[in-house]
Order: sequence, then C-alpha cells, then structure tokens
Amino acid sequence: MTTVAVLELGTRLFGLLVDDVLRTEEIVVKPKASVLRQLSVFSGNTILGDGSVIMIIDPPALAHLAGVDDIRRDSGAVLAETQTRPEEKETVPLLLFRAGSRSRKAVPLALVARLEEIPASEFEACEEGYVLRYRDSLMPVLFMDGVEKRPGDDLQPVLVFSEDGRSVGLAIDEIVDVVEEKFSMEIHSRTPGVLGACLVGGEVVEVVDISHYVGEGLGQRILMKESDVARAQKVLLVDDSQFFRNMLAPLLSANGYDVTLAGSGHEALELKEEGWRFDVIVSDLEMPELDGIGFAERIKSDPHWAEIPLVALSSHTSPRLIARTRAAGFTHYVGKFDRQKLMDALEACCSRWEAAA
Amino acid sequence: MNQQASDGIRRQAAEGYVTAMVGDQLFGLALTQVRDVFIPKGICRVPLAPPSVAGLLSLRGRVVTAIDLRRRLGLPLRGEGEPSVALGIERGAEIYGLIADRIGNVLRPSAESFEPTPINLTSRWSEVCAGLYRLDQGVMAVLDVESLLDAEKLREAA
Repeated sequence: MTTVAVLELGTRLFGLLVDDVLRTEEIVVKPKASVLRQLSVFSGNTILGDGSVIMIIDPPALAHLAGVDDIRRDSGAVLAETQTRPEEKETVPLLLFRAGSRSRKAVPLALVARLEEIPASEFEACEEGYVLRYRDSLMPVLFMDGVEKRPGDDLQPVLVFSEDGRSVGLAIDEIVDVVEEKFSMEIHSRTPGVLGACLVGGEVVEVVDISHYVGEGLGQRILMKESDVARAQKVLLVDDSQFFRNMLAPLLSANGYDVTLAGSGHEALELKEEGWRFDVIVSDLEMPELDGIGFAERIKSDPHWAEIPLVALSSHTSPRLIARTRAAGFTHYVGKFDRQKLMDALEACCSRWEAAA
Repeated sequence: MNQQASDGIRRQAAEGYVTAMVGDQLFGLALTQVRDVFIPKGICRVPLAPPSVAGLLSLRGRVVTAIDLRRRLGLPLRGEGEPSVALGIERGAEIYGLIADRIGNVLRPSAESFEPTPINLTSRWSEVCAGLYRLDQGVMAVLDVESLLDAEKLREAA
C-alpha cells in the first residue's frame, strides 16, 4: 500500500508520496542557519517533542522544483524570492503566541533574541518582580498580563529580548507559530502594551508593543499615551540598529505614519539621490561611518532635502550633544525609549510642515 | 604582524584555547568562542546541504548546525563507530557544532610562539587557519571561524 500526503497550495492539490504518516505536531518553524539559506526547498527546521530535529519542507518550493509556478501562494507561505533583497521585502516574520487570553498575539520575530522554555521553579521572586539566572547574569522576567507562573518545574515559554548586552524575558503561555505576513495594522489600540490588531491568515491577532515591556524591564519606564495623529505623513527612519528599526517602525505606522527605513546615513542619502521626499526624518545620532550629525550636515547642504524637519534619536543626553545637534539642523531631540516625546516631536514637525506648505 | 593583530593574539593566548584533534592535526579555538563541548548525537541530515554540513541536532532546546571538520578540510572520513566530539560556538543568533575527533586540553601558549599561517600548509587548512603556535608537542593551528563557516567556501569545499 502507498501513503500519499495531500497538500493544498492556493487552489491546487498535490500528492506527496511518503512511507508513513507519523502524526501531526504543533511547531514553531525556526529559521535556517545562514550556511543553509540557499536551500529553498526547506523553510526552516524545528525541534520535536522527543528532542530530535527535523527540516521543514516548503511546499511552494517543491512545486517550483516540479515546474509549477502559477500557484497563488497562501499568505502564510514563505516567499523565497522576497528574502533575497531585504529592502524589497514586503512581509515580515511574525511570532504568534498566546498570553493571558485565547486570542493570539504577535510580535515581529526579528525583535525576539531567543525563544526559551524555562522550568518555572527557576524564576526567583525579588522586590521588582521575577528574575532568572540566565547565561551567567540576572535577567528580569516580566509576566504578560494574565499569564500565570506555572507550578513547580513546569516549563514556561519565555521570549527573550536583548539590546546592548542587556536582556529581558517576557513570560507567556504558549508559542503558536512563526508566519511571514504583510504587516499592516488594521486597528490601532489605546491600551498600553498593545500596538493594535492585524490580520494573520484571516484571523485577528493583537500586535504587542514590546517597547512597553522591554523599556520597563530595562528600567526605563515608558509613558504611554494614545496618539491621535492619523495622517499618512512620510517618515524616514534612519537607525543602524535592527532592534530599534523593528521597534519603532510598527509604532510609527500604528500612529498613522508612512514609514521608510534606512539602516545607515549612506542608505538614506541614496534615497535622496533617487529623488525620494519625506515630511520628516528621524535619525539616530550614534551610527558607524556617517553619524547623525554628519548625516544632517549632508542633508542641509542639498536644497531638495534641506527644508525637511529632522528629529534626533539618542540614548545619551548631554547639553553639549543637544547643542551640537541643534547646530547641525535637528529641530527635536528625543531619547530612544521615549515614545511619547517622539510622537509629540513628529506631530510638531508635521504640523509645522503643513503650515509652511 | 600589525600591532592590533598581535594584541588580539596576546589576549587570546592569555585567555587560552580549547584544543582538539582532527586527523593528526591539533587545532585550537579561542576559549571565549567556545560555548560548549558535546558528543554529537541524533544528527538530522540535511539533503542538498553543502557536504561539510553534517546536519542539525538539538542541544538543550537550541538547533545546532553541525560542521564536519574532516569534510571541511578534505580529510579522509571517519569510519563507523569512530569517536567524535563537537565544539559548540555561537555566531550571531546561531549555534554551530564543529565536529572533531578528540578533545584536548585548554592550552595557554605564549604569544611569542605565534606565527602567521605558513604558505606550505595545504590549501584547505590555510583557508581556515588564522595562524599557528609552535608548541613542545607540535603545532597548534588556530581556527578562523568566520572563514570556516563562510557559506560560499562551504559550498566549494565539496
């Protein structure tokens, strides 16, 4: 007897001859190691319950090998060709999980440094909450609203976020999946810790505002206030840190801005040469090669971009640095975790821009 | 050797190297690079992967990409049942396990015994060697992890 796994891709059905069907498993597809990135047949790998590792076959890539290319890909499918040029990538990998309620929550996977499952007995209570001995240091662990600490040695899933060598753990109930999804916020939230809601595979998921938790965990409590800015003003965000780009981009789009990202001052200047126009530019000050001040000077010397208001982002605040940024042409100066001040600055810039136009 | 490189070597030499044997060559990885040493078990082969990639395995909940140093260096392959050991290194968010034959001691050679990669080394070795130390018991090659794991070179090293 022959066993066939029937695969449905878009509107087509395929049969995959297999020796045996073992079982179904709920898994998280972990990304391929960089040395295996060329293998488009696999979308990633996962660890099964028994500790063994398996590769996950990407059915659209199989169909492509079979010469079938007219499949309308499911939104959840990994688009191999969109991965080749990150700047053209339209979808972002989202980690889906549950915490507190049955509804699914999402966070951009790129923000998550690690997914861990830790025996709940290892969380140690202290005055500020829970901490965990993690890689030779203490890591604060925050429990998302409604998440209960598991009893005894039961494994608790923890999302680990890291920046500048500091880590924060966010305890959740269950990791559901990783999907590639076009990230478009359908509803903007007024609840602290929630950016809004978006559709993933036809289901509504809540997009979590990691900066709310991470900022808190890192001892920089973030003041959250809903913003009523809702114009599609074009914002260029220049930051060499993927973490901050990933953190700020959803925040800005959740507040109604049309965000373009650049990973360096040079990348942003290329956009200038290509004739892009923006309503406001938000730039990190501390960047390798061309720093924020040098970048501002280059912008101010080009009449096409000279009038665009500039907002400086920095993790340092010294009166001298602030004076230097003002002299270089920045109109606002905002701390990196101060999202309310950033929103206020953007609003001020955009309204000034409108009045001038 | 320029000043910066020699400072790097001095620091590495003071911190020490985790050493291991592959074939009849002793090699070392900077102690601070090595995350763990383990016996590679339950390796899942990856079809279509570069031959040097032995496969994937799980180590305390993380997926490790295992690289067979014998294949990477073009040495004769290990026979069935011959012992092997893996040195776990972290690279970005990924963990790689470099499979060698036998683990050695942690050595702290004097930085003065360091030499740049000599030209008479076989091409495979020179590709992944960041230099070597002349020790009483022989020569220890320092592995250049970046070059070792360079995806393009991995594909070529068939």
